[in-house]
Amino acid sequence: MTVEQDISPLVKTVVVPVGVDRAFEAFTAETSAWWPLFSHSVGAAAANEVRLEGAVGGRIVEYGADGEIATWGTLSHWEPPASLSFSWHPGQDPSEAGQVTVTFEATGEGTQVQLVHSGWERRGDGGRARLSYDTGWDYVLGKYVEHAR
Amino acid sequence: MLDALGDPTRRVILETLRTGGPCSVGVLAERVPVSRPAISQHLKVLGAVGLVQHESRGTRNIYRVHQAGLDELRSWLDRFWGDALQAYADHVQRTVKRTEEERE
Repeated sequence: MTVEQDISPLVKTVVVPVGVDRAFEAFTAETSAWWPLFSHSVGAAAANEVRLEGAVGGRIVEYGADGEIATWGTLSHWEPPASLSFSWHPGQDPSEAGQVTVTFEATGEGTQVQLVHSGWERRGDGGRARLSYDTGWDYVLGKYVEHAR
Repeated sequence: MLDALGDPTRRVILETLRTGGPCSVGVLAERVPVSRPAISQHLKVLGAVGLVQHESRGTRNIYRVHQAGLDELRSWLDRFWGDALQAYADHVQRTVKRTEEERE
């Protein structure tokens, strides 16, 4: 008997009142201006910048006063202003990385940004890798919990 | 809950229960390379945070993954991206306002 394994991707969307070009630029080139580093980073209080290297093979890197703190992932797809994909493994082993794809689509009110976090099913061990992924967040999310208290 | 998963042995125990199904401490001890007392201790921690449940069968306890506990973990991930995207949307909104003010 095995326990039912949930490997469905996580999907989040948000609509921003600007054109696709601007939405993509804000997401990828101004990441430090909005990313909640105090809660969503490996270094927490020590983190002061996150930079996304805009090209296939480019990295997403968290910086502190003394330089690089952690690599969060690597871009596997870069198609401005429509979409980008990257591996995602902040604070964990890159071999356990998930995959994140962000798409930008024009709507009547501006641009719909959709983020899909998947990738655990890529691995032969399915939900098991997914679990490793989830548990890899304990440090980052632990900081989040501390902050929320 | 997140502290409970900070320990690699506890992650292995949880993964073993998840992939192998419910079992006793004795069976877990055969699959996870730590002593039975250590496993019992880890199970106690996992139980306290709601990730593992147990039921008594005769003199033995049978342990299983508590799906609701794992769902809660997933909801953390959901909130993580939700917060990040909201922060992004707020940033875009602020820059729109600034541009409008500059035009006026």
